[in-house]
Amino acid sequence: MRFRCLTRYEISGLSMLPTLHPGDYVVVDCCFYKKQLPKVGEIVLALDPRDRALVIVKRVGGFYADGTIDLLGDNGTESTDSRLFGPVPLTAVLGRVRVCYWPLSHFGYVR
Amino acid sequence: MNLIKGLLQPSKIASAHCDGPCGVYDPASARIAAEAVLSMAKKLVALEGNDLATENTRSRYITIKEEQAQVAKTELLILWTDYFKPPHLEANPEIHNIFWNAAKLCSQNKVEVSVDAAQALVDTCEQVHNIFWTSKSREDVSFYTAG
Repeated sequence: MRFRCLTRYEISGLSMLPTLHPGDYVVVDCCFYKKQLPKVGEIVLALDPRDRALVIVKRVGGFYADGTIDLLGDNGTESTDSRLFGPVPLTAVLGRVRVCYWPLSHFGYVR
Repeated sequence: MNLIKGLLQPSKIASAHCDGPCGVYDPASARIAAEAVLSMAKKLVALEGNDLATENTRSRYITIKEEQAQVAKTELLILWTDYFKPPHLEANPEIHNIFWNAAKLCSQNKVEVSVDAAQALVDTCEQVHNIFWTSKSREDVSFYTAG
């Protein structure tokens, strides 16, 4: 894991509860998917398909043969995700969320 | 502690949101519009005479009834299509039917001048109120009418 691949992000919103809380600080490995494809169950950072100026954090819910994936929020009732905007292209995925480092009570690998 | 947090704070935001108005949905806006429809239906039924002033009043009542029925329909459709999600539907399979009938009632209230249909719309809003707040596990929000 090279350090220049690592980017820090602050989580906003409720759609990844109970895994990620609004205000959590996480580390994203932006090189993770250069050599492998996202797998179902991994939490990824991706460009919002409706507004590419925004990045969203969701869990990979499905993988399709045409090179698209479903992104789903863990908190189904408070999440806008592939159930609304459909599958997103693999090229929209920016990296894998690896570690939560703040607050200390949430410190640990993000799974 | 705040200093440490400040030093550690990322400059980028990863959004785990739902749509913009997330969290501020409230079936009260549909209920208020439905009550306005009921009020106009009652006033129209009670209004007598056909002089110019009365015709003007009747026309205003009809316009407001038409507008507010559309407002109620829009508000109900927002709840149905934006707020309610598949897990809600699993918990309450009647959701689609209730909203479909509610939207039909809004249309009926435009076509007709019917106190019964308007009251049915208000009653449906109470049903929606109950489903909505139950889905948010809130037992402290009781239904009321302004009229």
